[in-house]
Amino acid sequence: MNKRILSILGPVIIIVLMIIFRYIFPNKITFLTEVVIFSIYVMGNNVLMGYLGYTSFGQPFYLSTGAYSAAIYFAYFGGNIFMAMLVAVIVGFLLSLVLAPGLMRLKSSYFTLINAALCAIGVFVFERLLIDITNGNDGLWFRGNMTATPFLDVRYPKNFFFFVLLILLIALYLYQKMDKSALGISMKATKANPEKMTFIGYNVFLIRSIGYSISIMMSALAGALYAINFGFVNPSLGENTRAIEVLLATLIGGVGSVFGPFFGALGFLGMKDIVSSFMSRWEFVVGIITIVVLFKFNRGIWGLIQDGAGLLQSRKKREKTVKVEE
Amino acid sequence: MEIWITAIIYGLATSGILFLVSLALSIGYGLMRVVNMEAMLYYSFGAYVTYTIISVTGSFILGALGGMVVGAGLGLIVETQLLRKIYDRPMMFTMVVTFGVFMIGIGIIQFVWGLEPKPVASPISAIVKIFGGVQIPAYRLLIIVVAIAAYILIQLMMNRTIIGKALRAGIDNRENVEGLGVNINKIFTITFIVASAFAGLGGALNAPLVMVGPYMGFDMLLFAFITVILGGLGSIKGTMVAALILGQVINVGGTLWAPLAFVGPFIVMFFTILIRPTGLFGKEI
Amino acid sequence: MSTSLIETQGVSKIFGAFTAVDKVDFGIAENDAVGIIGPNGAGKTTFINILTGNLIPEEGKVLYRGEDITTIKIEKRIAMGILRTFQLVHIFDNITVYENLALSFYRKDENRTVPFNMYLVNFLKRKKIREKVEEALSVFELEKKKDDIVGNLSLGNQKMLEIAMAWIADPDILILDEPFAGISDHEIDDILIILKKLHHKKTIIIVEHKLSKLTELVDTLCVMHEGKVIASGPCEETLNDPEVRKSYWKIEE
Repeated sequence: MNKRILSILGPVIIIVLMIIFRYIFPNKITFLTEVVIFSIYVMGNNVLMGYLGYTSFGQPFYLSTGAYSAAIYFAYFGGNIFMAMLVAVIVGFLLSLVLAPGLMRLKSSYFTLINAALCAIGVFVFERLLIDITNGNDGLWFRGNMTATPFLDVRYPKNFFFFVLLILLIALYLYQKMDKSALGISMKATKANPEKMTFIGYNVFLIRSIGYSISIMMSALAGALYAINFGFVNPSLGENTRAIEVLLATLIGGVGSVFGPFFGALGFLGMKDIVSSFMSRWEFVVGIITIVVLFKFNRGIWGLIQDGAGLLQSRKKREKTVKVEE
Repeated sequence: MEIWITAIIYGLATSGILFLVSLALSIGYGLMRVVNMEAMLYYSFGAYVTYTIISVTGSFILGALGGMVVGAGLGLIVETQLLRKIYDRPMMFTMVVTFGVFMIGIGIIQFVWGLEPKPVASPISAIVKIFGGVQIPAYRLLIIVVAIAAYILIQLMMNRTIIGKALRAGIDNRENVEGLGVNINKIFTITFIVASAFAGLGGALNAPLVMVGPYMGFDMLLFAFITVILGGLGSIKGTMVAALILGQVINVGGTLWAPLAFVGPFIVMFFTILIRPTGLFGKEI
Repeated sequence: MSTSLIETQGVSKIFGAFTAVDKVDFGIAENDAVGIIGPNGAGKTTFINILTGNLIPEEGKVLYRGEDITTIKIEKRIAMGILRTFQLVHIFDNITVYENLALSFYRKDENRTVPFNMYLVNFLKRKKIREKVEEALSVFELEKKKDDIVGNLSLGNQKMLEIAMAWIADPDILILDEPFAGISDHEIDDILIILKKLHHKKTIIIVEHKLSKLTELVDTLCVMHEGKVIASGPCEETLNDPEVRKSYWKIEE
């Protein structure tokens, strides 16, 4: 019962939490915006990792594909922010159409490694092959080209924060629907036992491809939001070294849960924020956290929250039964 | 004409390095079904130790030996303290754990040696003339010779020694071999140490050719992955053949069109995997 | 036997030098229950793999309602109503009992191989699905376990769930591969009680290694030995067949 209440109130709690943070830490607005965008990115990865059982070391590639799609749109075609996001999602979708037929036939280990390779190709393409379009390492700057949006001008960081929060709310809502839908359950079932899925008559390849596609479109959307937030994009967004960030955030939050990705993003970026204030390079810390989370903490923050709620619930029940006995 | 012969020979040297470095990945998978992402630590620590020993003693041979010893030592620690305990966990788990170890290793390198890349001077500056006038640095030929020696050594170890026989039987059926009174864990460890020593040697040999930096392992990781995926995870012969192919793709391809040196290997791997999802010599997992 | 729902005519399956199934003729009429018995390695599992399409025989034909399905793919046979369970349980252990059953029913009901149209609907709560799943839960006595994650169930319950998953998809033929293997006598009895409820309502083929419990359930036995059917017919008669006594019983005597 408590689990159900948590999942109904989940999106609302998350949004309220972020708004409270916004007013407690008014000078941390850039950080909070990043948390929200990163959550969407982590949710995308969670589809692969938690629902389909694929670990990808290539998520930065999909992120930077989205970011560059938006950036190229702003730099050469127009200034509409919604259009940029749409372009990014469509490019992500087309990319997944091209890649899914190959990737979704692979065993998990090969999938991981091929994605790492994709990431390297992505950096190469954005940094060198398309240098005339993307300006290579100098990055593509376009802040001046963005036009105002009606009602709420999201070009201002203060407004943009609420804008991404709204997108997160919609994303969480759809994500929750997906979790309970036939698609979500068949993805989880495919992760557990693909042979049996074939045996009860489902098309495992297509189910995986749809999940993969959702994952990439979410990453691309997050990429576009990153681009809009920074006003420029450079190839470092898609570097291999950053692949671990999204994996770790997914693990910290709790793999395969609906609200885990948000808490993972918050936990991870929070830690990064604290550590980086007294350490310029933090690979060492990331490594240690990864191992601690995997060995000691494998249900993640969301798992802890659920356990906590479960404890409260059982205590209440005990109190009730005591009263009845009296 | 000259330029192509040079490219081919440089390619063979690249293959040599790739083979030495990828062996630990391939053997780690072959033995324990673990994709050990931390394997590139042996390579980068090997290179750094070589750099340090050269700057103290000036001897490259001592440096390379030091690199090998450190690589082997790290392999010993990682195999006995980590890999052995996690090999039956899901693939996702082991990959992320070993990647975490890799990150910790990079962090340690940053603390000890700093962020600045370090140059290492080539120990042999002689130029050899072959095929009537094609000039090749002797050092590249040395790498080729060392790699061939390493391949012969590991093949002899796998096929001619009792260790290799027990090993192959042990991969197929652990319990049977243990029932015969063989300590299969010890044999796995020895094999893994040999592979990580080779990775350390690869780092030592590659140090004069590239700058020694904290992220050198990361750059090499990608190429090592391509090598083992192309060859088939777990196959030593496959690793060798893949290294030979990639060395040529990088150097001859790079001579044709410079960007091929970087993307060529990825393209080759993509098409191979699409046609043969288990790589050239890989078995169905 | 033209009245057979599914029948084979001289099917053989050869693995290298080993003939696993050797020119087997077999048939089962609608709503009958047949037990295929025989010692380990007699070719029972190979034979039902031929029926379900996991293996394609080297020679012979498989007929279903008089139609040749020898080379038809697994998925098509499933759509035709041939469903099976496995010797080692094949279920989804990361979701609940309810979800397992719903997934199996949804496939049959909607006749879609990809559930994408249902993306935004909480299909678990649809009336049709709920009613059918509740029915399955009560037939297989799993009501109490409804919201349990399948991975936490006992092996007996998991086997029960696997049979329920096949049953809920309303197959024409239900093929059970060693449903009693690896579970306690008590759990076997539970499954027996449920299977008896289906007797003469479904066409059932049961492959079993032990036959003590089987005779309570099936009308016809089919004894396999070294890839051949050495006897078939009513239980008692078959078990007293001299050929069977010679080649099969000597192992258990």
